[in-house]
Amino acid sequence: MGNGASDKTIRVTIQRFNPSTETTCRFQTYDVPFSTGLSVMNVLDYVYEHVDGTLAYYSHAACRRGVCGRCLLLINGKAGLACQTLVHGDLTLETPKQFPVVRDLVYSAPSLLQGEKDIFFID
Amino acid sequence: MDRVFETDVLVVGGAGAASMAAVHASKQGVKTTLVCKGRLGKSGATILAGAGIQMDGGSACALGLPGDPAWTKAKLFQEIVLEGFYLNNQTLVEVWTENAGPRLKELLDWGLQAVFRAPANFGTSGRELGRVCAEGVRRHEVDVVDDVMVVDLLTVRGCVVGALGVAVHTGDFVVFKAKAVVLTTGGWHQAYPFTSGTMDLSGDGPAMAYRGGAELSNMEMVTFCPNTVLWPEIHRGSIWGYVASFPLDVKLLNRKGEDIMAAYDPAIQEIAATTEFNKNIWSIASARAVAAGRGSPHGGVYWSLKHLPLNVFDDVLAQRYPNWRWQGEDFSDLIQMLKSGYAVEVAPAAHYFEGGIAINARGETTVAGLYAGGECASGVFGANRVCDATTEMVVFGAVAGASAGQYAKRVRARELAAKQVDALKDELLQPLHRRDGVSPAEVRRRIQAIAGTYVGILRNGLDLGRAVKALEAIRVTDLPRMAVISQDRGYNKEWIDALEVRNLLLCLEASARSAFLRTESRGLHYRVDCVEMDNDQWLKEIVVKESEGAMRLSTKPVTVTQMKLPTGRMTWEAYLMKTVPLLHELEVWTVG
Repeated sequence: MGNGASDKTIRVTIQRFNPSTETTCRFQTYDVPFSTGLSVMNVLDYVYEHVDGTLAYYSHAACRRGVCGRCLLLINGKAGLACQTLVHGDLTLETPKQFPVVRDLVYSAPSLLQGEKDIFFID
Repeated sequence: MDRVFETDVLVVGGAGAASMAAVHASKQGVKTTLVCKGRLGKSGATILAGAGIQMDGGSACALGLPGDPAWTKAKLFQEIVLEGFYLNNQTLVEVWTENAGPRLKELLDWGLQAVFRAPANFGTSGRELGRVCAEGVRRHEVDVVDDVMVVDLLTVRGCVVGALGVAVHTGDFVVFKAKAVVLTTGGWHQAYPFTSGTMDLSGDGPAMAYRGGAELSNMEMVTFCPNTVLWPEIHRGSIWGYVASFPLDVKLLNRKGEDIMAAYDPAIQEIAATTEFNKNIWSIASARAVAAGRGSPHGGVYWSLKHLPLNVFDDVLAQRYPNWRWQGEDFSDLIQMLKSGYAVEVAPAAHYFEGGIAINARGETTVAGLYAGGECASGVFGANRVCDATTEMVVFGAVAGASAGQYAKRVRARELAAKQVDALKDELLQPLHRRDGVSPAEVRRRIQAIAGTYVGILRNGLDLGRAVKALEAIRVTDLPRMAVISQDRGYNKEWIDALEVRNLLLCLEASARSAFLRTESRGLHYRVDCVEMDNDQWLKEIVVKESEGAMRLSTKPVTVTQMKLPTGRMTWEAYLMKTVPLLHELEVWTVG
């Protein structure tokens, strides 16, 4: 175990989509330093903070503790919360297929009160 | 085109205080709109709460619960003030004790799943509180707007007439016309490099209230939650390490394997082991170990169970954390580490903010039409919170919402000042237009570094002065240079960060200036260069207000109703040793 530092990097392939300039999603690959104990959310933070500030993923009101559920993604093809999924190696990250994509990894999902009353979404 | 919402009362917030405010505004028969930065019941501070809710025994009995009537409102009042180092606004403490029972009844009526514990506590979870608050909103006439960050208040001649927001998904501006605005936005956790709070807690409420002309107070008081998991990264910021400290005799070790509590007076060790002042004591001890160069590799201390038999995993921990889960997290990786003889790195995390927007007993601020409640408001807990913030959130959210509703019934709607709206939009759009500059993420890192280095647990005047200077430099040099790469406004994370950064900076600067001014140690404010609590000079709240473009500080005496204030000076440790027996007499403590 130890403190997890290593020289290893992983390849992270991320769904990109900008509704202002694109009509379909594409994928972009980043090399990210790897250490034991990282979550998928930590990897996204690294890309945003150090590699590509244009990356969009739901984080402005994320809880990071597996409670809010807003960071649900397809992680290597399987649905999981970005904040609670441990990274073991290379990653492919996409939005769940059933929801319309807002930008990159951000999508429009139903709220707790959906169907119960009028909720105003602006997307 | 901007989206425009017209309403009577606009409530800004994510769950607990916001839901209560919206419901109680709506009960006044006025049109009420609740705007969330994330999703209602799935954002804000509430969803990560521990979460205990307190009231008095009589109120519990009135709800048909097996409460202990000997646990009176007067005792609750004394507990809160003793734990708050007498800095509490006692008028607000009375509001807390008087309203806790009725508000809890409301949560129960909405279907709150909670376990009752004598004398008058409920144990539940943050997730459940979020769910039940959204349920309360569902049952009332409240419109909900999700994923909109409210960025500033709109005022006309000093009165609030609405607010301006940004729809995060599209980047469009959203204009809210309202007779009254209630701010229930929680703390400013993200100003700190290590925090237990959700990502949306960026001091939006206090910062926009300040820019709108309201007073802030007690901004120097910040609770740190010790034993918060620091590493592995996936658990960074989880308070599981703190809550799991109670059923066991956990040891906190420095990098040499020494118990960081060993050097303390046995009386202080006893207080740490048996009372909830352990938050203060463990935080200071952990910060001292790190300051002395004996911290763990990631800048914390080791949370160790190695001195205990392996049986405790099955016999104690597994009972409390079935499948090694707590709230939304799976801790089996940490359990595996601990069973193998490793320790978990933990540190004190910025956790709760006692200070904020100054309010009176009706939740009114000093600005007409502006109300505040919950963590983003100030006063009830004084210099230290021990009692449950969840009670504060439901009580003061409701008070502020009801007052705002009554006010909205009395006043006529006013037109917005179009020029103000346009000027504000131009200012907010600046980072999108700059070609070169500094990234918002970089500015946030600089702010967090100052918070962590100079405005943390162990404070001194020299460092606090440095913090003020460094924050001024960021305000003057970096804020006007913030630039984002993508010009497209839809979920533009850098732009949202830029809008948050100005709020984080404002809150931290108010905090650092207040902490510099307060030349004593009281509660959470621990000055190594003024170790005594000075009751003759400092039973005063520090108030921060904008005046002619500058941050002005003043003091006002503590508001007293029932409990006489102490005099003289004593060390922080002496205060604890004197106060804990008083709390034992009240039969307060139920750690674990």
